[in-house]
Amino acid sequence: MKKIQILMLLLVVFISISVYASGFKIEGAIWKEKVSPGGSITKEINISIDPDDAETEFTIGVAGLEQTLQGINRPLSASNDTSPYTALPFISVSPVSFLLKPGGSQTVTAKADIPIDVGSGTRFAILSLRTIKAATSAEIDGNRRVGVSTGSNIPVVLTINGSEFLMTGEITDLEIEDPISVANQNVSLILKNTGNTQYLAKVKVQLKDEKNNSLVSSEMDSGVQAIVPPFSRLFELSLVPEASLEPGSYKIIVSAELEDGTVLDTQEIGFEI
Amino acid sequence: MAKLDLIVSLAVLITILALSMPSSAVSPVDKTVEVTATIPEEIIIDLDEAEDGISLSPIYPGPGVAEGRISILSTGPWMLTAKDGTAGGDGRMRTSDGHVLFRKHQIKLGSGSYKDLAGNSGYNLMKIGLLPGSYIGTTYYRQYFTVGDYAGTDYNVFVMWECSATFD
Repeated sequence: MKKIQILMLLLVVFISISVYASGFKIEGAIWKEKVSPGGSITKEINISIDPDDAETEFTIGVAGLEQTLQGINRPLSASNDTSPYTALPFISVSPVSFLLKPGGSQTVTAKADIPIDVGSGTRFAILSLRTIKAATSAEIDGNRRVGVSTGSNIPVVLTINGSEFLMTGEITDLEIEDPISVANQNVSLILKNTGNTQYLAKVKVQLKDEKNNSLVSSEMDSGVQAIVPPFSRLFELSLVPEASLEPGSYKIIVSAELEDGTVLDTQEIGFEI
Repeated sequence: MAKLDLIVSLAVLITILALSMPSSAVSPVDKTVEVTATIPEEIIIDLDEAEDGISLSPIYPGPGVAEGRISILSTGPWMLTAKDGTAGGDGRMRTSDGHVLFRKHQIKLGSGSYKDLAGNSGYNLMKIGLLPGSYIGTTYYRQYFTVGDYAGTDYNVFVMWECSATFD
């Protein structure tokens, strides 16, 4: 019986080894820290792969942080990074490329030298980590291949000590989807962060008739990713009144607020049925 | 007693086999499990697609399809995105000698719907992890062949999956 158990154990070990996985582990997947003007700080990021992973080449570089309307942080090259809140110019990283053998690991050191005249608020950047092995393989092999690879955008969020933090915002592009329906109204708007630090926000939308009676309301929050200045977030909401709207005048009132209820901006838009 | 030992061993083996197998073609894997964070700021991302990329079933007459599996473990909120990983790539399969398929390559995750692969400067938002935890999902790849596409050669595309921490 012992022999059977040993054979099964060996089989399990063999299966575990033969299942291929491509990926990596990051310890230090975000760099969020308070900094002082003129100060210098470092962050260690450890990248490792499993013993059953193939030899993998990595690159890591410093980029600006751009945020899409959907709240995705993406890297921006220095030449395209025009954000007044960028941390890109005062961050360096070493090494910028390295090769990991199966089971290997590498510690990458990022350093930020904060200028004395850095200003107020928060500064942002991305450490862009990429694997480059799979791309080469797919190109060489041909044969209707889909090459796959993994990467991570490590956010850098440096909050400046002693700052005056401005949390302000502005609603733009408030629109009702055409054609306007009597059954439901689809509303979209963009909230631009006009402050100097990031925040989570929510948008409240209310439908009122010409006698100022509230017919229906809805709200939506910005999700897990804060809105980074000077970027904007798209909100899309649907209002469904209990009864179809009768002919008349209506207005939609929109309010953008911080999590604590502080109002950032309000706007309204009218329509006729 | 010997029989019991054998049954227990088989049960263990079957369990490990089930955990080791790639995703099933008939039931998409799309599972999130919340866990308590033990190591701050840690992300593990794994793709079980073959090292040299994966082969689609024949694109012509198509659609060519393939699937794999992705697993993520994060000790904080995270976001999974995908895009064409080739510099200047527009999300289309192409050959080294200039042939390009008309329809964009498509991807989906778990029980979601197919999306055209975003170009190198864009992003497909594939999954948001609100809480620390682990996630396992089936990755799907699909390519349609359109009348007018050149059928006499092989095409490639390079999909980059990116898992990143989010912040408040």
